[in-house]
Formats: sequence, C-alpha cells, structure tokens
Amino acid sequence: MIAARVLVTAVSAEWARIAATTATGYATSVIGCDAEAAIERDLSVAETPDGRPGVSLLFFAFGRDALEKAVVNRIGQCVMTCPTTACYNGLTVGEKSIQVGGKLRFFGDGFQISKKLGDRRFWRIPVMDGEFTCEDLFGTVKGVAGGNVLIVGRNSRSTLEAATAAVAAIRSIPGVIAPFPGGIVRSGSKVGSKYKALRGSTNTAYCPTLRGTAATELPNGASCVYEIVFDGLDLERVERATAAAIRAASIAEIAAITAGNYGGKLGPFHIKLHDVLNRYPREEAEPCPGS
Amino acid sequence: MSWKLIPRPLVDRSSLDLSAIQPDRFRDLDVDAVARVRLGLGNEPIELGECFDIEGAGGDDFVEIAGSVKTSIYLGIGMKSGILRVSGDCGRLTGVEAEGGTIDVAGSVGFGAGSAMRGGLLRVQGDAGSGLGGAYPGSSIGMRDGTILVAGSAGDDVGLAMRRGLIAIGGSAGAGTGRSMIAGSIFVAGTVAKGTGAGMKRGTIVLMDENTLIDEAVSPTFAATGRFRPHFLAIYLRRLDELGFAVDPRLFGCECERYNGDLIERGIGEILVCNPYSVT
Repeated sequence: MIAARVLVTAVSAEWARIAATTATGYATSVIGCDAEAAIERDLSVAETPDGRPGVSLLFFAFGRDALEKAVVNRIGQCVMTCPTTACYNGLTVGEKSIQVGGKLRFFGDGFQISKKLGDRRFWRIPVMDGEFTCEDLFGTVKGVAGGNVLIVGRNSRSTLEAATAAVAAIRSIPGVIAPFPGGIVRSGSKVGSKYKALRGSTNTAYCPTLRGTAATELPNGASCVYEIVFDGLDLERVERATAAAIRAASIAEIAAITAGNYGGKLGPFHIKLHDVLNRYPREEAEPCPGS
Repeated sequence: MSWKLIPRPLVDRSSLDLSAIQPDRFRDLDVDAVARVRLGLGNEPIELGECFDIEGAGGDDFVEIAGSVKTSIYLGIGMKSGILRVSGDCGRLTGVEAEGGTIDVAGSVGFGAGSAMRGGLLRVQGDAGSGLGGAYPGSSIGMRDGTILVAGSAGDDVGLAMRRGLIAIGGSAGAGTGRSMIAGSIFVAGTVAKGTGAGMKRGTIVLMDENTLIDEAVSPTFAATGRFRPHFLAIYLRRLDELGFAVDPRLFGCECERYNGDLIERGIGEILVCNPYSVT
C-alpha cells in the first residue's frame, strides 16, 4: 500500500477537524472505498506550515495512481470546500510523489497563483472567502496496511471497552491510523463467499451466533468479538501499534486476543503477536518519533 | 580550513574584477596557486597575491574577504556552491548569475547585486544599490531563482523583470520596486517609492509597513480588491525568519489589503499591504 500524509489547517481547530473528518469519510477499507484514511492527530500552531491549528491525515491506497486520484478528489471536494482551510504535504517529497495542488489549481480558472519557495510549490486558488492554498506535490511512502487484532470478550460491554482502549493506544502512535468507525470493526470479514460476486463475506468463525452451524474459532464463554484494523507508514509502527493494542485490551472479561492472518496469503507482512510483545515491552511501546 | 583574503590598499584604486574568486575552485588550491589566480584591475590583469594578503588553507568551500572591496565587480559571479563572506562593503554586480552557495556581505553592496541570479543565497547586512536582483544589463529577464536578503535599504528597480525567487528588504526600497516583474516575491519592510510594481505581469510584492502610502507608490492601474488573509504569507515569513531576516512577529497570520495589477499587463500580479493589527 502507498501512503501519503496530508496536513489540513484552518482558522480554528474546530474547522480543521470538520474538514479532516469530511475528507476521511467513507474511507474504511480499500475493499469498498477508494482509499483507507483517517485522522492521525491534531497539530498545534507550532507544527503547521502556516501557523494555524491543523490536523494530520493519512491516506493509503493500492497504488500511487489510485492514491493520487483519491487524495485529489477528497481534498477538492471536502477540504477546498470547507471555510478557511489550507492543505500541505506532510512527507518528504521525492521522485515518487503525487500531484495534488497541481491538479486542483485548474479550479482557479486561470486566476490561480503559483508560489515557489525553495523546492516547494504552493498553489493559491481564489475562492469565495479569499483563497485556498494547496501544496503542489505530496510525498508518498510504501506503507503497511491491514494490521489487525481480534478482541474476543465474554460480553459486549467489556469487549467494547477493551477495543476502545486498544484504539486509543494505537492512535497515540504517530504514523498509524485506525480507519474504521471509532477505529473498531464489528463486521470482520473472511476472504471469499458462497456468492461469486463477493470477494469477502462475514467472518463466520468469529460470529458468536453461528456457533453450531459454522466452524468456530471462539473459545467457550465468548460472546462478542471486535476487530481493530490499522495502517502505518512502516512495519515498525504497525508492530508497535499491535503490541500497544494487545496490552491496552488485556482487561478482565476478555477471553482471547488474536489476529486474522487469512492463511498467511493476504500481504507480504506477517506480524506474530507474541513476537511483537517481546520486542516492544511496555516501557518501549510508547509513541515512536514522528517522521 | 578556509581562505582568508585581506585587501591591500591597491584594491581601491580602480575597478577590481573579482570573478575568479570562487569558493569551490579554491578548495583544492595551495597558497601559491591562490596567489597566482588572475584578477583584473582596471583594464589590466593582476594576480590575486598583489591585491590581497592570503591566510589559511584550502579544504572547505569557504573564502572570506576580511575587509571592504568597494571597487569590486563580479564578486561571486556564477557561483555554484560554498560560502563567500565579505566583512566589509562590496562594489557592483555582486553575485550576478549565481547558481548556488551563499554570499554573506557584512557591509553594503553596489549596483546590480544578484542580477540574473539563478539560485543560492545573497545576504547583505547593510544597504544595496539599485537594480538588486534585477535584469543583467542587456537582458529582459531578471533574477530567475534564489534568495536575496538585505537588512538595510535598497535603491531603485529592486527585482526589475525578475522571473522567480525571493527578495526581502529590511529597510526602504527605491522607485520601481518590482517593475516589469514576471513572477517571484519581493518583501519590503520599510517604505517604497513611486512606480512600485509598474508593468508587473505576475508575482507578489508584500509591503510590510502598514503606513505605506499606497496611492503615491502604486499607479492607478492597480485594482484594490479589499482585505483577505493570505495563508502562504506565514510560510514565507517563517522562512525569512529561519534565514535570519528580522520579521515583525505581528505579521504572522495578518490580513492584507490586496491590489491586483498591473492591469496594463496581464493583471494577475499582486501588491499586498500587511495590516499587523488584524491578527486574530
């Protein structure tokens, strides 16, 4: 998966959040969306290029072309349209970058202005509250998507509590997002379906209500499972997130914590849960430095 | 190690062509070779050793001229890398066509500094003469890229026909600042004189002094468009601040009055007048 980091700023943290939330909507899984995206973290005025409050977003897609299309569409429709916003690149620009501002500039109908400062080019597009500033190029990296843990609980309340704690732990790690609603998936899927048109279907082995009618992986007493799916800018961040999630979710009434490996055939990275717990002990599972 | 060149009184007698002083070329030379570098005094060639006392050694791309060379011409012309430091004043056409590296002048520079510059940084602690960052005599295009910072004031025709790059003036600028500008950015902290932006096609002139008398400085062929908050400005100001240029902190996030023009040309250039009291 290819990843990009987008910094959105606005006149206030609230407006930056509104733009960020809108731009990352309907971006849970590349199975059904053009990209996987979510808010990485809020940015203080000292951390943004234009000194205003901001939000950092991460976008993941199957390839650079798909990522560019998704980011251009989402910034064009959800950030440029939002009052007072501006949009900047959050990764190092190299050969493998995507063009965003350079595509959106045509909205300016010939009145757009380019400003080049060093190696960075900014496009200023006139809009009805002034102008929308968007950086021309956004850097990309090869990210790691599909990190996951399955939290198996004895009741829905405690399982949701554990999953929420796990998501909070994941979100404390820079460079990692959990793109599903609240970071949590209740409709985990398996590869394939009895219906030919579908590439995936409900994860029958972890559906408590299918005990007895389908093969199950659930231990006795388990009645609820939540999956947390997360994407990171590199493997180390995803491994740290895995370790942090497992520790945060390890509360009473949790029967098991496991992960979906889909027969080891879905992607090149295999993260072994005991291994990451050993390699990232609690005191080292703190946030790794931002990129 | 670096080279230190101490000017002898001889250098003030006539126009002194210093185009051969290039930090990257001096790196691998020994003292004798540096002393034999050919300069020009008036119409005659002259060896560097006759104009300067030489101290230090090669090794780094760093040359310091420890004193003033007020009659110099072409110091740092076409410079590609390294650092050239002058602890006094410089003469005409300093840093013309420079492509990279840094020229640091502790004093002032004369006419045409940074003309047709293509990259790098020219930093002047004193004042600059006319034609700063403008078109090299005979050329229709001025500075093409790079950064020029002047802590003091500048003469007429700052950024004449400049194509790209950044010029910042800490003091006032003379008449015709940004005249016939093709693109790029000029920041002036002090006042400007008549003809600011005259004939500019594109580009941005930022006037940071809220007391600027815009009706006197700018021709009627500019259209006032009202106030807005240009977000890119903070990025530029932060960059200037990083480069050591004194920036009024009140200007970060300020509103600007915008004037579009010059309407006798394409009209998509702009003059922004900052209002430091508008920060919310």
